[in-house]
Amino acid sequence: MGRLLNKFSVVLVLTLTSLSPAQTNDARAKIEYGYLRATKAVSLKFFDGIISVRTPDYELLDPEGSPVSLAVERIRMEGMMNPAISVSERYTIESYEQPSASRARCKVQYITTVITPEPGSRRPLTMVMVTRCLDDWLLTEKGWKLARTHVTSQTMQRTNIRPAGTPK
Amino acid sequence: MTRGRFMRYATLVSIGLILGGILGVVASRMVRRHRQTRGKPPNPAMIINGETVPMEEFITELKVLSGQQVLQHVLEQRLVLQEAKRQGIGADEASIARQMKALSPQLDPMVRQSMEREMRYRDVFRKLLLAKVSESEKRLVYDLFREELANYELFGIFLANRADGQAVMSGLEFNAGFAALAARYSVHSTRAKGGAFGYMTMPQIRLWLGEDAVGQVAALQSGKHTGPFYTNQGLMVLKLGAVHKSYQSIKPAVEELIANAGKVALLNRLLQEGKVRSLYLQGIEPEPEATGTPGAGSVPLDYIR
Repeated sequence: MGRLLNKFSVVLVLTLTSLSPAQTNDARAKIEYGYLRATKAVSLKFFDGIISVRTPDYELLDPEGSPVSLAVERIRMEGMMNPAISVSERYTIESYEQPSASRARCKVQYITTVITPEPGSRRPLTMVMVTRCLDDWLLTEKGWKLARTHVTSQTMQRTNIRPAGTPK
Repeated sequence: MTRGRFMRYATLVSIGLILGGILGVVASRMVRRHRQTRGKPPNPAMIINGETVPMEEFITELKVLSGQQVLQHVLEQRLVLQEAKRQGIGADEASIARQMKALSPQLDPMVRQSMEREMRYRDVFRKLLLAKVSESEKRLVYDLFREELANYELFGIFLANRADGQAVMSGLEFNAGFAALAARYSVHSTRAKGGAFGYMTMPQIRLWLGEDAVGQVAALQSGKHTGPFYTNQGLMVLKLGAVHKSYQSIKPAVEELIANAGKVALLNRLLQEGKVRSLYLQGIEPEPEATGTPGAGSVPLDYIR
């Protein structure tokens, strides 16, 4: 009887914790909606919109694993977005894992294009940033929220920069 | 010459001499007065213990301290007003007239003129920025950020201690009225207005009162209040008034967000296309560095997100 109960509990636990494809698809769709909101907020230069997809105790880690405060992130993001002619961001979910019904981990690549006016000539200059992150999502009472981001790499490419010494 | 004609001639000369003398005296007094006042500024900027700060000195100080910024603003203002005129976009004159009427009549006419120009500039700038934004685009922004742009009417009682918190809760239980309790117990200047904070968005509440307050407000229904709880500003009780979340009610905020995102692009285009000459701007503005930044390629950078 005890063994049967044990087997029953194992089956019950497996049933409760394993996810049906429909559940996974639903969660992923909602998480993708979060990414859509965050990237649209970037193009609107709307920092409060960017952080609206996060949990209150959201944690941000740089490539060395050091935490970055919200105040520092706000200064950096606004310093990048506000003087820009335009900012646009695309995201790609490179991998998606959902270990439980309330947790998901995404490996994401962001491509952020920032166009700024060149000082003096006001010619548009383009910078392209490629950021790779490991994002942990949590199902809260307010829906799926981003709980932690670990930036694994970030590089920047500048284009249409005049080589030094060339005439204006 | 007869005696009679001579007498007439002598009288006329005498009258002429007397009038000339009077005119001479008046003229010399006017000249003296003008000489006395010429050294003094006609409208001093300030008088400190009897010492006058001339308007010229004040203007020079303004030029040195913030002339560059002011001139840049004037430049942008004029470019935007010219572009609006070119595109046939006019300001909402009725709204400007209403705002001007609300200003103090004692304001300097030049200041009034400047404020009116600024109102007109802001209005047409917004119209220029939204001219090509479709209704569906505004709807999309609304759908994505409705919660962040919604307006919450808040009232609050800032408490000195927990005992006052208990007294406020007892008062609310016996329908003492939130405004009356705020007037009696709040230690904040808003007590004079029955604890009214006005309308706030969730990001504003987060910034001012903290994350707990955001959670408390989100859980409240209109007309209901919280218990005493700690915020970034100390112990308080919050009451929620009206909530505006509909598309029509927060459309101005949606438009503001879209317009703000496009400001730099429009200004940059106008500045590139405009023919601007100013000795002052050229004299002050340093020449841009002759590049020297690295060419295209991948470089590591400070972490941003």
